[in-house]
Amino acid sequence: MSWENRMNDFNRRTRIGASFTPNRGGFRTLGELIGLPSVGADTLDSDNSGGSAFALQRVVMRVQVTGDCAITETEQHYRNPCDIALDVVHTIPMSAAGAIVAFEIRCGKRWIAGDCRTNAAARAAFTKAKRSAYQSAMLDQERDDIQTLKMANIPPHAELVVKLTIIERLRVTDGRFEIRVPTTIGMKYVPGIPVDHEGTGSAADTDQASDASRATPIVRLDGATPLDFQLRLAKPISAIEGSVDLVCNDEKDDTMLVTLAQDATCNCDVVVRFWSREARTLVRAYGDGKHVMVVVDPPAQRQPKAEMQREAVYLLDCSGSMQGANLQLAKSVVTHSLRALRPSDQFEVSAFNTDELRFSDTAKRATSSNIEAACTWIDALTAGGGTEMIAPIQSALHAKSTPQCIRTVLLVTDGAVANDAVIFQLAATMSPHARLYTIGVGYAPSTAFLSRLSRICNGSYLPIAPSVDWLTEFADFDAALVGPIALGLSVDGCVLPYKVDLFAGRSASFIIKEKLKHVRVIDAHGKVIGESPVTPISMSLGALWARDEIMRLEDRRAGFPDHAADVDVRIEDLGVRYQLQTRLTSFVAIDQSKKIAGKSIAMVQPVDAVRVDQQASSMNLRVFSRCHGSGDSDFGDHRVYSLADDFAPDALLGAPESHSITRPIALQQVKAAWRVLRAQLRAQLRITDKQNEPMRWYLCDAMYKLTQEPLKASIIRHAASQLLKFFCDDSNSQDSHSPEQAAVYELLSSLGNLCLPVPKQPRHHFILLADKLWSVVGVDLEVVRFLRTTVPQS
Amino acid sequence: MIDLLSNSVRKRFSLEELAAETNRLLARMPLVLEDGRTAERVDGRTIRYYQSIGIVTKPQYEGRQAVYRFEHLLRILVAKRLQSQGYSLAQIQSALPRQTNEQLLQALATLEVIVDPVIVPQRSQLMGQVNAQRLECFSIGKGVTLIVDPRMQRNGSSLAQHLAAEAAQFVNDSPGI
Repeated sequence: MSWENRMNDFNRRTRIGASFTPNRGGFRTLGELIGLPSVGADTLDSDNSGGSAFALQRVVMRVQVTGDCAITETEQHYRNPCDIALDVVHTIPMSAAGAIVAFEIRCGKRWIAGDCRTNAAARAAFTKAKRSAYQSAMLDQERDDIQTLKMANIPPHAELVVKLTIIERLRVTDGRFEIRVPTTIGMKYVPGIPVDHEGTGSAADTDQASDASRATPIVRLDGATPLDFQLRLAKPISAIEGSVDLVCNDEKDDTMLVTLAQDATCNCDVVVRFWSREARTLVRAYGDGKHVMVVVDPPAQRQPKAEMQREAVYLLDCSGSMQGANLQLAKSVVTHSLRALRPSDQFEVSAFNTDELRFSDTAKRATSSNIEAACTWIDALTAGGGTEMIAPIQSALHAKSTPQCIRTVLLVTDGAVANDAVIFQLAATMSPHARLYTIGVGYAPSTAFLSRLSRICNGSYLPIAPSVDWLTEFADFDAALVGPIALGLSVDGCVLPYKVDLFAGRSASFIIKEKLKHVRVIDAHGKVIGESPVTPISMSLGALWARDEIMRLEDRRAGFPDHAADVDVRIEDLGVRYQLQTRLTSFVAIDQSKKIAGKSIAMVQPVDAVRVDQQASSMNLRVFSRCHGSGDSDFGDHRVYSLADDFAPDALLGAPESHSITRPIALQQVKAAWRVLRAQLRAQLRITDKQNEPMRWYLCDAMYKLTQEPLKASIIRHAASQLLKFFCDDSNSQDSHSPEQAAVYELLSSLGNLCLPVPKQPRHHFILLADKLWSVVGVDLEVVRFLRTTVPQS
Repeated sequence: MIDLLSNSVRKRFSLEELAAETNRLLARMPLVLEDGRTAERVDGRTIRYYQSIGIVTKPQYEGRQAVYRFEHLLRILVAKRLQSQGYSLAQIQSALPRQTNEQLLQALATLEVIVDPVIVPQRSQLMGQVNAQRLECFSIGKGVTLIVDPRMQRNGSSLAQHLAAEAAQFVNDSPGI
């Protein structure tokens, strides 16, 4: 049967209807037929970043600060790389407390504004537009900080820009303003049994997290999306700092323009902090004519709290996602807080991943010996496994506190879980014997989840990143752990239907629907906290007021889902009336100017991987072995390697061992990095000719191999024997070796000895030998240090 | 190879069945490379991993049971073939989701005429260092492959077509196993 007949027969039997045309001319591989670049002879080079292969080309953010608020305009630029129309689904991050007030799309030259409708109406309109071949876009809220952007019918090779306008309040702590703009979504641990997979995410919906497939977007294995970020501040600014490198320029109109360094990408929350040089009052108020926003700063000098005993409970997340600098930061935070306790206080420390580990079964007194023992226990913790948060929170909140004690629970985690709803319910139904405070560590902690959890439990939330000087921030937060310094703030003459507490170190704010020229802030007892005239503000505060209302309603619903129906009706009403994106209202924009004919293909846009830093610490690094049986593709239940991100010696990238697949990206980057490193090593050692410099050539490969593979005795033996063979071939007798050569010889013999099956061969022995070897061969010290930290554990 | 797939078009698989079927078909595919980096065998975890990075589309659920179909099988096979050619998962992630099932079948069928290049590893004496050299392989007929060293013969494809035409009368083209 000829080829054509065979294909026709295939079509007939299977009724697939593919069109087969033989590729008679040229010689193309499967990859090239699909559109990948041809693989060169050296197939072990690092990966093509493929930046433009996906739909998202870049993200543009423009932030403007007005008063205590920020207005952010985010533009997502998409391009259709295919020859037919494209439908894209992209899960985008959003600021947890921000109000999305506008939604526009631009196809071609015109901007088309979208409007906010109920979910059912928006979905119906979007589906109809999609079927009618109009270009359209819709925003669907999954969580407070996760939105799904759906676009339909992008014409072939055309661009589509989606613009969102977000208003939010700045976080103010001790005179420092903070803007936090998330650019990506971190991976989440999804507990439970898979039951469905409705969304386009990487994880399936489970019985504990029914929307996991919509809240866990697929992560890009390689490459990153360029980020163009600009922030405009009114001067005078006395100081400014950021989580990434900033470039500040003074502008003519008395503002300061802050941008990021050239190669910024969407891999972490962009945090900018600045101190204003303007004189600040304790109370500030802004009005737009219909609403008044009141901001109250805590007093500068802290009155020492009455000498109440504290019962401090620490819950430390040591799951796989906390790998690296995250866990080190978390440990520092907890040990710092422990050491600040007084001897009359009591403490409990627990760590959790898939299991719960407790330092002790009962609370211990905070004597220096107990604290040191606890700190040692904490230091020994390593990251790995899933994140089962329910049991530790339950036991921490459930236990009754000792009388005359204030029980505070501090949860230190990155919040990378998908079963938020279950945890909220649990936390709300526990009797409030204790306040729960949360600290989010990492470059993209789950701010929405952790801040809601702390609100439900009457505490507060603090995000910190590994690159920041966290000590000052945390000191204030720690002081606030004993409780608020003022309860039940409100404006004299107005009734606030909800509680606002003032904690040390952090400003409290609320918005009221009043027309006032002057406010006087009082606490629950009527004591005057401060007063201020109302400054007119050009921005409309209605949306922020509605957003606050919705946040409180959602808090209530999260804790008590029985009242869901009433809460939902009110949220939907607020969303439509104020044109705000909510869980029950969605923005939709449709361009009815032209139809895009032809079939379309659906694509899911993956998000960038969150930046992970790992500080080099040869003692604490865990080196993992490759999954047996396969290379890049498989993800077994074995461990994976830690090594350099962008090949700098001090930054290492790790990947966790986990029951569910949470960090596939790390393995890919690991492999890619190793390939480049080997090339760099060769260049470093100037190895060009195997004939003339055999020792260096084989040495390089030997070290590469040794650090690649798990410490297999056979490999070391083989490597050592090869080196010895060529080394000895260079000269006839051992006596004629130079001192350097002798040192290498001794080293190689020791390497050979290392492979004897001695169970407790000290690891640092190997490191010292490797050091010696490298220093003899003359490699850059940076490379040595880097390699030292990746030596496999024996 | 397309014939191999035709039996699976209307089947439904559980995760384990899908892995077994994939392994069975991979074993039957002609001249797929084993370079030590990519194994030919997949298991359930691999398939779930491919799903989590978007290379394989999500399964349908009937109750709590995940049900996989032909398109999942097709995508895993294509992904494995691409890997064996030396493409990384990142590259596969950027290209594969954009392809429709028909386009993938088209690509696989096109290879009926011209087979993927085989990269022949020449393992040096030194610790598995691999020097890769590319040979061109062409399918002359069913189970008959012509291997050409491109450094010496430039027009491998036209040579193969001529030979295929000539050999058609000799090659046994009965339906395979």
